[in-house]
Formats: sequence, C-alpha cells, structure tokens
Amino acid sequence: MIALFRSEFLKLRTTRTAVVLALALLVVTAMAIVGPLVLADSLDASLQQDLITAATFAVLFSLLFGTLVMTGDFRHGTATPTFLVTPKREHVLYAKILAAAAGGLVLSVAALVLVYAVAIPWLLIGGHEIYLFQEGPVRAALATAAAAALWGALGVGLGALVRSQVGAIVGALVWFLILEGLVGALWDDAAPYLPGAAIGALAGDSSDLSSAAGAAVSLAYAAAFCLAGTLLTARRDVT
Amino acid sequence: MIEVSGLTKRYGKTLAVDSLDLHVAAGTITGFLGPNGAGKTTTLRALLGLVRPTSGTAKIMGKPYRQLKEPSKHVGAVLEASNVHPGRTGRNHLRVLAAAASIPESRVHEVLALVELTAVGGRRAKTYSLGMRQRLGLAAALLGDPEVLILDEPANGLDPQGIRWLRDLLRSLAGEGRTVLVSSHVLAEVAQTVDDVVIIHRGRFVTHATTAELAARVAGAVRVRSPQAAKLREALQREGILVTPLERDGLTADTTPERVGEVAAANGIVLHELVAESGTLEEAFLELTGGETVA
Repeated sequence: MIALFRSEFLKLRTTRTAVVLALALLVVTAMAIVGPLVLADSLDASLQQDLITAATFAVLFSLLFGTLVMTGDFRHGTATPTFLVTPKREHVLYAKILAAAAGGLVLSVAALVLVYAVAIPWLLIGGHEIYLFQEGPVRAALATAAAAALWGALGVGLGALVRSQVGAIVGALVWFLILEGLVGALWDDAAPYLPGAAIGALAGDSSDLSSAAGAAVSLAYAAAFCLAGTLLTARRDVT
Repeated sequence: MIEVSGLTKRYGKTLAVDSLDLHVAAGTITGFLGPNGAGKTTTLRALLGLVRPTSGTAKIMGKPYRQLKEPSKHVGAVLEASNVHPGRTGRNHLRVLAAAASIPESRVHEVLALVELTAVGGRRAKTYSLGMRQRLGLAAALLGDPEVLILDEPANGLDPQGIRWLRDLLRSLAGEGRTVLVSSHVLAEVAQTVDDVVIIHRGRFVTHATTAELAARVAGAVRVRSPQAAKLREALQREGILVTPLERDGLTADTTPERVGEVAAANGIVLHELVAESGTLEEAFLELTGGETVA
C-alpha cells in the first residue's frame, strides 16, 4: 500500500494538473477575501469569521481534484499499466482515495494560509483587533480542511463510477447548481441531508443541520461513493 | 507457460472471442495473428486480468494473472502505445510504474537505455512519435525483468527501421529464455521473428503451426505461358486440374509443374514458360482468414 501511495503521489507531482488547480484556487480565494476586507465598514469578530468562508472554495476544488485523480487514468489510458502492475484494483483505489484526501487537505491548508496571510497584515495596518485565532474562526478553518479532505475522497469515488473526466465534472456541477436545489424543493425533508447542504453545514454557511451532523452525513456520502466506485472498478472490464 | 482454454467473451450480442484455446510453450516466440477485429486484443486483455471472460480460463504460469504475486516481475505487457499521460515525461511515466511495483529507480534508467530513449526521457510524452511511445511501452513492460512478454500489435506505427529494431530486440529477449506472445494483423511483421504462429479469425481458433509448416501448407500454383494456351487449358481441365486463364497466352494451374509438363507433352503442346509459384506465408494467412486482412 505504501508503494501504491508513493506511485499515486508521484503521478500527481509529475504533471501540471495539481499545481494549476492549486494556483486557480489561490486566485479565487484571494478575490473572495479582498472584497469583504475593502468594502466592510467595520472588521468586527463576525466579519472576521466570515473571512474564513473565502477558503471554502478549497472544498469544491478538492472534489474536482479527487475526480481528476481517478478519471485521469481512464482518460489517458494509464489505467491499463496501473492495473497491470497492481491487478488488485481495490488497492489502487485505496491509494487514490488517500492521495485525494491528502490533496484536499493540502489545498484547503493553502487556501487558509492565504486567508490568514492576507487578513492579518491588513487588520494590523488598519489598527483592528484580530479575532481570527478565536474559537469560532479556528473551528471554521478546521471544518473547511475536514470538508476538503472528505470531498477529495468523494471525488475519487465519483470518478470511479463515471470514468469519463468531462462526465464526472459536468455531472457534479449540474447536481450542485441545478439538481440539488430542485430535489430539495420537491422533497424538503431531505433537503438538509443532500450532499451540498451537508457539506455546507460542516464548512461555511449556516444550515438546518449542526456541523457535527453535516460532518457525519458528508462522511457517509464520501464512504458510499468510494465503496461503490471501488467495487465497480474491481469488477468492470478495463478496455 | 500461457494456457487459454475455452475462453469466451461476449459484449452484448457480439461474440468477441469464441471458446478459444491457446497454448504457448516456455521459451518460444509465438505470433498471435488474425485480421483486425478477430479478438486478439480481447484475448490478451483477458489473459492479463483486465477483461473478465464470459466463460473459460486464461492462465499464465499456472495462475490467472490477477492471482500472480508481483505480476510485473513475471509478466510484462504492452497493450496500447498511447497509454501515457501526454503531460508526463517518459522517465516519470516509468518512475510511477516502478514505484507501484517497488522496483528501484535505477531500473528505470536501464530500461530507458535498452529501448534507446535515454536522450528523450526528460521530454513530455506528447512530443513523442508513435514509435517512441511504442518503445516507452516496451520499457514499461521490461521494468520488472519479466519471464513472459505479451505484446499487442507492437509494430503498429513503427517505420521499417523500427520494425527491424523490434525484431532484433524480441529475438534477443527470447534468446535470454523469455517467452514472448506477440500479436499482429500483418504476418510479414512477425514472420521472421516468431517460432510458432497461432491464427484466430472471428474469435475462433484457426490453426497453431510453425512458420515452416504454415508455408508448406500453401498450395503452390503453376504459371504457364503457351502459344496454344486454349488447347492446354482444355487438356488440363480434362485431367480435372483447376485452371485460371491469365492475359493472352498465360494461365495458372492448381497442380505441380511436373504434371503440367506431362499433360503438355502428351498433347503435343508447346510451352514458353513454366514457373512454380511457391506460396508465401502471407497467402497462407489470407487463405486461412478468408482474405479479410490488408497486408
């Protein structure tokens, strides 16, 4: 397993995909944090807590990252040599899930570091008191990191189920932008338990669920996708 | 070394492989031939545990591939030359596979040198020609120094020089006692390399023979030129010999030159030319596979 994890990690380090994704995340996060800093009338504790929300883009990027970790091998045909070296395909999946979760963690930490690195000097220069290290913002930061790791893993499961890179990414976007709202509107009892709402309860905006419940539901989604994706990949023909 | 028995693979209504038996002895180079779509790739993928057979078994060294311990140290395979991320360098492609198989990095440099890609190992794979990708695939297959090599159409995309290079490499690998199974839809590509030939057609086994046996099986026709071609034709046909007229004074007869000479003498017919056309391997192959291939 350690060898497989090393191999997956090497895959990530030897193409530009991960770096490009990380840079894009940092740009988006920077734009999301500069707005409130410039426009806010008073940078009080509640607004400082909201600044952390800028880093939650990392969660969406982690999902994207996880899908790429899996579908990249199908898209470029490297699934064949990968599964030839490791015919126990479920082991490859475990390594990928681990790598994507770790990648999600790295992405979220990078985004959080950027938030703190921009916000702290800004607040100091403006002569504001810094609330960023109080319990609220720190909890939000940890929740963001946990959510990013979970969705990184979920992305691998999704990618294993769909296999097509474009299909998996478009599918995820269509779900979160259109379908989840639709399903939630039609069946409002289920709405807080849908994937987007659950991760929202864990990291970022308020919701009907507690953050612990959001974490549990998100973990269940990630586990279900990873399990289904692993079982299917182990059985399906590689052509 | 390689045992396929009763292998059947059905994709929906299409029968890609139909109760195929295949046997490859240790230390031989076997050509696995058939027209495009004959089921070669499906058979090889089933052999390598990538495709689940509908029925039947495929074993290497007595075990299904997926049950081999450290398979890349026993079996190396090249299935498609394009199985590499275009943004990754050739060397890194090999390092990724070596890491997964716990093969030391020094071996990466060895196989790169073996396939003569050392100079371009640091370049991204998208800059590689098809021939270079084929060689990168071969390098990947050789990483674990395997006893068995399985190559699917390795000559595809190679220029004549590349084909000769491949032939020499396969010969030297077999010379080291390795077992090689190499598929192709063009017999000529492998005829000079292989010991044995297995031919399949439409997913079914056609024949397993040595290349010499295969050549011997070709019915050689006789080409004749005579100013009395029409008369000769009638005489031969009276003897029950199949005759095909050629342009003007020529014809081919499906028999031996001796027989044509005897018939001509008995009927007082003058011959200007009498040539035994030895059948080529390619003709045998075309005959066996219903001429559905392009040479």
